[in-house]
Amino acid sequence: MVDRLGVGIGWRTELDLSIARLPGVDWVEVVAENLHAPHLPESLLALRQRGMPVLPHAVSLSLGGAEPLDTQRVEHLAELARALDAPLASDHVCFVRAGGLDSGHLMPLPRTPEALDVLVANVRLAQSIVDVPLALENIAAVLEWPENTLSEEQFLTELTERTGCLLIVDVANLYANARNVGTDPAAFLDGIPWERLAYVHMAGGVERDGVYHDTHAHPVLPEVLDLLAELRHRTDPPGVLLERDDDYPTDTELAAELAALRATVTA
Amino acid sequence: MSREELAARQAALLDALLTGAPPPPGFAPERLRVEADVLLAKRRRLMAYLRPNLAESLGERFAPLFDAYAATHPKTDTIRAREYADAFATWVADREPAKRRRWFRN
Amino acid sequence: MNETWGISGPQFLAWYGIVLAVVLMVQVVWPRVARTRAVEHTGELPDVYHLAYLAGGPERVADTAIAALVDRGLLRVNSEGLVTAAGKRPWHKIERSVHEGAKGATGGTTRSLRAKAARSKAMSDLETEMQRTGLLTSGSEARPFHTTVLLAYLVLLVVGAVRFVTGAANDRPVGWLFLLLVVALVLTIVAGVVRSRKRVRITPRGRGALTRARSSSSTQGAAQPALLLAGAAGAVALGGLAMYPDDELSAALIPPFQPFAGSGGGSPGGGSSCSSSSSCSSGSSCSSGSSCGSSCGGGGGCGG
Repeated sequence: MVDRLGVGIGWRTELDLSIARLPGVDWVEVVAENLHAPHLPESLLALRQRGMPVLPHAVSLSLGGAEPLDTQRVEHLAELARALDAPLASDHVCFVRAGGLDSGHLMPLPRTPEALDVLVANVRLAQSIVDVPLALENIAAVLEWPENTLSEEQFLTELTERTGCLLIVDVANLYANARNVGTDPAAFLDGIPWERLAYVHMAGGVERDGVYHDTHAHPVLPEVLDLLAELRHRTDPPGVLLERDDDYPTDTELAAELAALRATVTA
Repeated sequence: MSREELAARQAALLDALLTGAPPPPGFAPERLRVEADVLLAKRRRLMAYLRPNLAESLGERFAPLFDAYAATHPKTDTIRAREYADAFATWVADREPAKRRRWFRN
Repeated sequence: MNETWGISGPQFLAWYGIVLAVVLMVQVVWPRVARTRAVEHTGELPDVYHLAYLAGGPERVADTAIAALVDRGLLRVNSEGLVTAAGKRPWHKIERSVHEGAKGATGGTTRSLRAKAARSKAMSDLETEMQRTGLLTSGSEARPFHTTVLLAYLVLLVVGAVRFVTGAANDRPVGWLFLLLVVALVLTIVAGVVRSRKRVRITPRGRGALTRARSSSSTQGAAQPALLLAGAAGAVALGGLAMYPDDELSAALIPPFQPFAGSGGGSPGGGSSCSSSSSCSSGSSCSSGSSCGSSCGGGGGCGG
């Protein structure tokens, strides 16, 4: 049901020539807000021409926001998915804007039935605009809402059941939540409806003052790779994507990280 | 909790994190501080990315200046990232006429 | 009536002209002699950055460092010519300063890296080193000589002027003296300009080193210099970025033509190119969260 993607990497403009030359890149994911369908970068179009899947990933839909959904942003994602001929499009289980303010970051939702209702309504509206399957990703949180009644896996499971959306499981975020807000990774991995898995995100981070920061600017931690292996025991993920957004390592190091991901999911 | 109540709770959380408004009840204050720092650091990085010359010419003073600006001018949902960056640059230039000349020349 | 200073007008004119000519001759000839002498003082072989400097000045040195680092994977260039640092910082001083200049989220461009390298301490150290090894002349070592020449002209000018004034006061003919005075004045000004100009020049030894490097890089097999000039850095040192062995990277590294480009550094690529030909892709990456001015002005980051 979900296309097999293989091992991919987050496409960043700084890395475009590197990505085109790196061994072991089966597909790429682009940040939807950084691109415009009518003016796609040449280097990205070249990848498309080679037949490489390019999947748009949004960060600004604010699908968990209680204010009315900004459908223009959803239109933008839909347009991009069409231009890239993408098999699916995605955003996060979070909110970004509220009360006229823009956090500039992915904010956790209260895991309550009421917040789930709001999320479900927004996701259904977004699904009616985007004409490919929509996938939603778990975020990394450093704080939790006091009114939480559901576990993260319960929340995500119910979301997929009610909207039919797919899931992107970010293993680094799972690790971050285990470190920062006490999520039980085993319970999470046991509770996720794996048949709804679109692909897996992997990224590096760093611990500072007792808080794990999901920086995307450091190498993937061995602990996060171990969690990916745990995930692999439960399912064979259709795709694994490496996200690196800052402090870029050499091509050799990137290739080694991709190879490590491949080794973990094919083991 | 109704959709309206949820909207109010979300707004209060962002207000506390971005403008230093009183923390909404129930949240761990030290976690709010960590989250506020995360958001500020992220905005600062984005600003340095959008205005590299300004960040470079301000050097070590870039971070405190941006932090001061962000505390009093949180980014709203109607302003674009680039407009926000322009507004910060103007704010810096108004505060520091001498600096302004220097980085305009660069 | 006594001759002024006991010397007749024509005699004075002759001596004045001769001394002026001798000073001029010394001024012109001595630096050449000194340069050929300077050649002898060292046997150190030039490295690839010395040769780059000899072939194309500080700009070529920066280009060579860029090429060396791109070749080793420590710099990355994208399709829009944005150069970003990767991995560990290199050991070589010039390379380190170029790597430093491409750090940060926004990196640099060939242009901005050249400008930064030209201002760097590493570059002035390189020049000093090349002066020490006789590959470059230095303005400073010739300065005492030029000061002496200037003083000689000034003395001649003063003596001539005094003679002119006393001669004119005694109603002697001073037309020819006036002409020589004008010549002396011009030469004094020229000497002053030459003295104040601090130009770094390539010595004959430097030119020789470059010629040998060129010929040995075209005829393969000459053991040592060929080894020295192996790889992308060697090719770029002698031929510029167009000679970078990978065409795609070479095209990305060569700065685009800018009608009004001065010698200064362009601003680093990065964030500011939303309006450029390509697209907003050059705007922020995921880590920087928001988009560049799309309908989606806001937005969170990736990982949350």
